[in-house]
Amino acid sequence: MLARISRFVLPVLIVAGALAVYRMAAVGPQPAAVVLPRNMPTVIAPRINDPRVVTDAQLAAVLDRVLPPADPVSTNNFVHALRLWGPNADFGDAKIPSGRQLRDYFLSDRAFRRWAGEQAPPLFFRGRDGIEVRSYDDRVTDRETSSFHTDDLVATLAETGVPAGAPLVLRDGQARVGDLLTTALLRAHPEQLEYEWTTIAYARYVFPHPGWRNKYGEKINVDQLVDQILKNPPGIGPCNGLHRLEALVVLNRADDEYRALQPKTKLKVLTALKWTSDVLVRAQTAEGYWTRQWPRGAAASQPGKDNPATLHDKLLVTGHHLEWLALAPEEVQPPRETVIRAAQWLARTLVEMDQKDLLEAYGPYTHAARALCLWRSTEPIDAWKKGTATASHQVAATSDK
Amino acid sequence: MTSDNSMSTPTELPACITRDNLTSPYFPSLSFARLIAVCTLSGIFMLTAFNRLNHTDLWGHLNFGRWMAEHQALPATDPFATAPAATPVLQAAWLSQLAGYEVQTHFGNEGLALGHALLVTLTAGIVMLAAVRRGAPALWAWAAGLAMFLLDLPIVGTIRPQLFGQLGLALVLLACAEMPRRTHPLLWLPVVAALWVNLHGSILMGIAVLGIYAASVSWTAWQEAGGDAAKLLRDRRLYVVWGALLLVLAAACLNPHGPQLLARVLLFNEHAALSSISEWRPLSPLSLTGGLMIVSVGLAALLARCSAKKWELYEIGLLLLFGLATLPAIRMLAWWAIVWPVVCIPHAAAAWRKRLADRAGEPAQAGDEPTAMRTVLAMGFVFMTLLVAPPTFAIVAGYGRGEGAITVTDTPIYVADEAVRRDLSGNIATPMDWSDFLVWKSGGRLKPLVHSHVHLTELDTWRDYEAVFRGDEVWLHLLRGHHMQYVLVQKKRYPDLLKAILMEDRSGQGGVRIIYQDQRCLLAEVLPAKPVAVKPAS
Repeated sequence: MLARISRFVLPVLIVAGALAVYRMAAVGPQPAAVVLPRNMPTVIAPRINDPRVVTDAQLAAVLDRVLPPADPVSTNNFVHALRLWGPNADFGDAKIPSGRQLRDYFLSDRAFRRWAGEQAPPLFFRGRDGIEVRSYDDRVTDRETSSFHTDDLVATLAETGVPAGAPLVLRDGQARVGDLLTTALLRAHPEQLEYEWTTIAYARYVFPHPGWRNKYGEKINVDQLVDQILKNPPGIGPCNGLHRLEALVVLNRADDEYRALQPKTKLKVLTALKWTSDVLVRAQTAEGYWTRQWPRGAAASQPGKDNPATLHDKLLVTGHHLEWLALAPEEVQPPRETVIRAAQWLARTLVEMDQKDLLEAYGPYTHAARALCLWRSTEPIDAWKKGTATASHQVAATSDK
Repeated sequence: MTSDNSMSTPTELPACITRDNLTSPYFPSLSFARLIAVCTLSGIFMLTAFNRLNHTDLWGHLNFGRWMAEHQALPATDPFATAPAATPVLQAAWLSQLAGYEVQTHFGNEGLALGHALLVTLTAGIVMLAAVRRGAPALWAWAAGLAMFLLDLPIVGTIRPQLFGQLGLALVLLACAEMPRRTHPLLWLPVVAALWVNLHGSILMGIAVLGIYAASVSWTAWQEAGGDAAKLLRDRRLYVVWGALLLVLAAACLNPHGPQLLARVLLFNEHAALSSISEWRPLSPLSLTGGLMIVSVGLAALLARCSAKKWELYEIGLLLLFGLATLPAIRMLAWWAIVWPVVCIPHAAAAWRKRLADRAGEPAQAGDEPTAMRTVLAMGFVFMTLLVAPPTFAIVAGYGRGEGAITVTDTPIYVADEAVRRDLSGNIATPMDWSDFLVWKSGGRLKPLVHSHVHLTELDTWRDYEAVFRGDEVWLHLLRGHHMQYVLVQKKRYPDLLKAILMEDRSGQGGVRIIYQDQRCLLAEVLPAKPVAVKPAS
């Protein structure tokens, strides 16, 4: 009887024991879904300073048009202003939010309410998945004080050098910027409509750590992110799909520091940037700007009745293109003449355009202003102050005469 | 110098090699045939376990299971749709729905995947056993399991109550293989039938198999009796097979509908909407199902010529019945996949033996002495299978794969998660195959216009659903007419509706408001029509 029982039970016990041993010896605890390897985001500084692209005076004049607007309060304007001016900007004017105030708008709910009003629902809140952002589509009301693009706020905090450990004061407690980033990465998924800012936040805070696991248990790695960016046809997506190119150059620059991208992926990135750059040369109009039709190449270089372009479109597309090109490696750059023509058109137009129109699309136009600053490797606040000082000096000299 | 007596002849191996230290009364020994059978079943388990949870009616069945668990009752009418039809719910799968829900609740999605793999493996094991009991050599059992798995490929990947039906049919075929020599099936067949009739509405398949078998045995007995009725009446075989049929028929009445269930199952496929479901469509020769069917029918025809084994009447009857039944509805392949191996593999083995005999005279009976080493090999194979199969690895590791990794990519996990995050509730027009998952994730707070249990939908509602998702001009009117609060559209599958929604959203006319988008789908809120200002009569 014992032998009979043993014949049935022994093999089962042996296999079960072997599995238990395997678990103890070879299977560790489940790794953390998101790893934040460092506190400070990677700094991606411009490398080119070419006064032919835009002169000091032109730059100062452009920047003077895009000072942070405080009224009406718009989160989208604030995030673009912070991105352009940085946290150290101080305009010496109480009516113009300083860089510190712009940053605090996002880091402290008290500061947020000072601008957005006591009744404004919080921009960040403790939600089901962690620290969540109130997005544009979340509700019909209070859209002006919501986030317009997925993960653009955390990406901007990264771009402006806010540490992952920086406190984030919520209405009902306190968290850290890293918590906001973790939630963004947990909620990211392969079908996300807009993943450019998620990629930028990842590139600055997390890369070269190879990826993370989202809340659905899916592993997302840097190669997948690059494939996602390259999957969609150019010109399709928010802001003409141009944030994707920004994400690629940021990732590429981060890789220049960490050397962690697979050669195949790196080649994909550089090939895509070079292709875009070549298309831009052909698509540039005689005046220097690009339109939303730029992926069509030479066919887009002569806007006519068939493919008319509004001033807004021209500014949006030209500004965004110059922005990523400023951070792109030398080997994918178009001839400098192409950049100069585009930048000169941009500077002229931004200076000449109606202020009301400019404020209505403040966000996209700050990309243009930022692009010009990047091409001069200068901090916007320094360029603006320099220009203001020069103008004051000239006014004083004229008065003396 | 080495002495001669210490040397072995080339044919004699040293004792240290030939000594069998494993063989013991306390450790089992396995024949080669059984080792192959274990490997086959392990392979079937592993391959089945790699299937992800399908996005279609699995979640619909779990919804029903959850409803029953929460209400401690069976739903009389559809509890999920916006405007359920008066059609009463056919309670033919309530037990599997409830069991599925309990498995999901206690063991999660990995538990469902594991249960799926175990169920398919068990069915394959029964099919293999039935083939052996019907005369196939033990060494051919693997062929029956493999044939079942291959023929079942278009169906086996989806967890459905039908899997229980397949297991039931395999058990009935095993019973037929055992009877009339042995009578123990008379004890367990009624239990199988009573469970089957509550697990899936396919009990008629089992009754048909038993009926054909009983008729076949009766015909054989009649011929053997030479027309002598008295002799026939004394034939014990008839009492066993007809007794089994009667017992199964009686047990099949043990369900919420009683004997009426059998009639209602027959009328089940008359709903017009079922023609839109792929599995209810006729067999196409260009599909995988069609290809498998053609190959298996061709092999059966070949075996009819080559087999040295006598073809029995009921074997022909089974092949004809289930072969013909598969032509108008491809879901019938599930039954063909069970019947074909049990019927044909013994003939294939007989044909093979005959071929060997024709070539080299009488084939030598290969010895297949059980050894303990083979048991060790089988244990190694099982061990590796348990590590490689995702649900068992999840048990070993102590953590599962997560929803995105265990569900098929068509599952609307992201939009469903967003709906839950926003706490959406109310009526929603969504693609039929996505409805079940949305109902599941929202805990029944979202009420779909149509879900995958289409036979519960009114025909008019079904037509309106089709018109909406075609993007007909009246799409918004229909949505409002059905009091839909949300509409969810897959971008690639329904481009016309997508375009219409985008245009309506951007037109500013207030028909819809987009509240969520990803690369695959768009979710919009359907806004009520603005009241038309009517000039008061003077």
